[in-house]
Order: sequence, then structure tokens, then C-alpha cells
Amino acid sequence: MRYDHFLLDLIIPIAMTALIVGIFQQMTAIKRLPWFEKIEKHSISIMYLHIFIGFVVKDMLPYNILTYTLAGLFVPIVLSILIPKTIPLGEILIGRFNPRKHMHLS
Amino acid sequence: MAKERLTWVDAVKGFLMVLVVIGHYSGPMPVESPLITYIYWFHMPAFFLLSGLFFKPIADNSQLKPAIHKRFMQLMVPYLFFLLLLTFFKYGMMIGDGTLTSAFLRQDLIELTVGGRFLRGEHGVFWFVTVMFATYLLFLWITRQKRWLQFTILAACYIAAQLEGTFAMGLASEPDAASAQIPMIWNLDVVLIAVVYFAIGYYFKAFWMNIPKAAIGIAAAIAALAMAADGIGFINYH
Repeated sequence: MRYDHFLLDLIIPIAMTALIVGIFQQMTAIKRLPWFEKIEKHSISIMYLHIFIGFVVKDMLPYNILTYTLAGLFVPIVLSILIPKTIPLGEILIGRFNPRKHMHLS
Repeated sequence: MAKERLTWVDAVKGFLMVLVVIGHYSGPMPVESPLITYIYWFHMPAFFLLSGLFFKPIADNSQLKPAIHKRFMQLMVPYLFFLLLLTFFKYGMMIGDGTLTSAFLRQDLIELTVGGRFLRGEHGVFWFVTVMFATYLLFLWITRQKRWLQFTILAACYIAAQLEGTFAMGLASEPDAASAQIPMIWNLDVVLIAVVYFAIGYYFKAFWMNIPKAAIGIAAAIAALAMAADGIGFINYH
């Protein structure tokens, strides 16, 4: 419930989003950014699991921004690769539902 | 051209996902910096805005059900899967520790059902998905209205969100405590502002698809100004 700045709630998020999107449009016009593209491909698992992985890192590893971020990205990416290969309908469970491919399920 | 667009969209979303992860880091920073504050200024609105960019309005009633079914499968099925997965791990560890009580279980099951702001800890990001699904449904309905009514509804949503936010912050000074004062399943009230960001992505698609260099410069100036104003305490933006 942090929306109580009538103008800033529009100006700041839009300006910062335009800045980030604009910079990435300029950069990718010169060179692709495959690391970020790979992260996006597994973003559902990363989103859901990174906080839990962070708790595990706190218990098992030196907890700093580097170990936390690397584990919070790497472990969900590994699971995102493994789930579709090991669990029936795993692709759907990690958000990759494709109506054409999975039409027989509907 | 389509390939180029996908390249930057995927890269931006990947970068935003890294920011989401960093935003939940709770330890000491190597250098004193307001980085996490600045991440929270825009990263969730950015996700709604980018989703609005690729929204397809549906005029034909026969296409409504398949479209809603597709979004449900893409958003809510993973939501339920990861909710159960993390809960399974949590309960397993608590059983191992001998800390799982019936009172805790009852309270936890209520919170898992209500979702949204009542999901804490490892479930802290789950609100985003229920809000995104509800935002999609609301915007689907909005875009089936006349153009003037679309903007009227969006303006009303924004004003209602601001009024609610101001009211909530009057109940408690800290945002998390303030939001807890307003019970709402799945954070559905956040849809009021999320749909505005979503709409900005949709209506200004031509701008977002190829942001002019001058606009990037202006955006950079606004961002720098906001950070400077925040740094000297001129604004208090959370």
C-alpha cells in the first residue's frame, strides 16, 4: 500500500522504465545480451523460488549480495530445466502453457 | 524486426528479474547505497507496463474463453504449483524441527488462501501473479468499452488507488503495517494501480517499442533529479 504520491507514482516509474528499456534497446541493437535472455526464459522459477533459496543460503553459505544473487538465480534455473524433464506436464507447471501444443488438455 | 523486438524485451525482463532477486536481499551491502530503494521505485510497475505492451484486445466473444483459459494456465497453474511446493518444503522442515503446531497450521492455511499481502517470507512475491491475472481480466473488460469510457475507468482506478494508499498510510506509518490494515484477498486492490501501468504500456506501444534517444535523455534527467531530491530529503518516495 505504497501508492500515495499522486504525481510521483506516474512520473518516477515511467521515467525509470523508459530509461532502462531505452538503454536496453540501444545496447541490443549493437549486441544481444544472451545472459539476460536466458534469465528471462527461466523467470517464473526464479520469481517463485529465489526468496526460499535465499533462506537456504543464509543457513549454508556466507550470506552476502553475491552468494545470495547467484544462488537465487542459478538454483531456480537448474530446477526450471529439470522440472519439465522429470515431472509429467512439467512445462505447464512452470508457466509454459502453449494452447496449440497442449490443446488436448483443455 | 520482430526478432530485434523480442531480443530487447527478453533482455529487459531478464534484467528486471535480477533486480527482483537483488531487491529481496536483506543482508548488509558492500557499499552503503540506496540501490534497493531505487529498484523498488519502478521494477514492479515496469513488469505491468511491459505486459501491457503485448496485450491483445478481444472484440469477438468467442475468443474470450480461450484467451482467459490461456492466461489462467500460464499464471495461476504455476502459482498453485509453487505455492504447494514451497509449503510442502516448509512443513517438512517444521515437522523435522518439531515446530509444526495445529494453531500455526490453521493460521498458515488461512494466509495461503487469502494470499496477497498476507503471504510473507518465502511466499513474498506471490501477490504479483494474482494481481497480474486480475489486471489482465480487468483490462480485457476495459478495452471492450468505448474509448472515452476506457480512460474514465482508468482515471477512476488511479484516483481510487491513491485514496486507498493515502488512507492506509494514515493507519500506520510503515507501508507493510499499513497494508495489513486493509484485508483483501489476493491483493486485488493493487489491481487499481497495476491496470494503469498496464494501460500505459498498451496505449503507448509505439513509444515503448522504439524509445527515441531524446526521451531516454529526459528519462535519465528525471531519474537523476528524483534520486537527488530523495538524497537530500526533498521527496520521500517509497
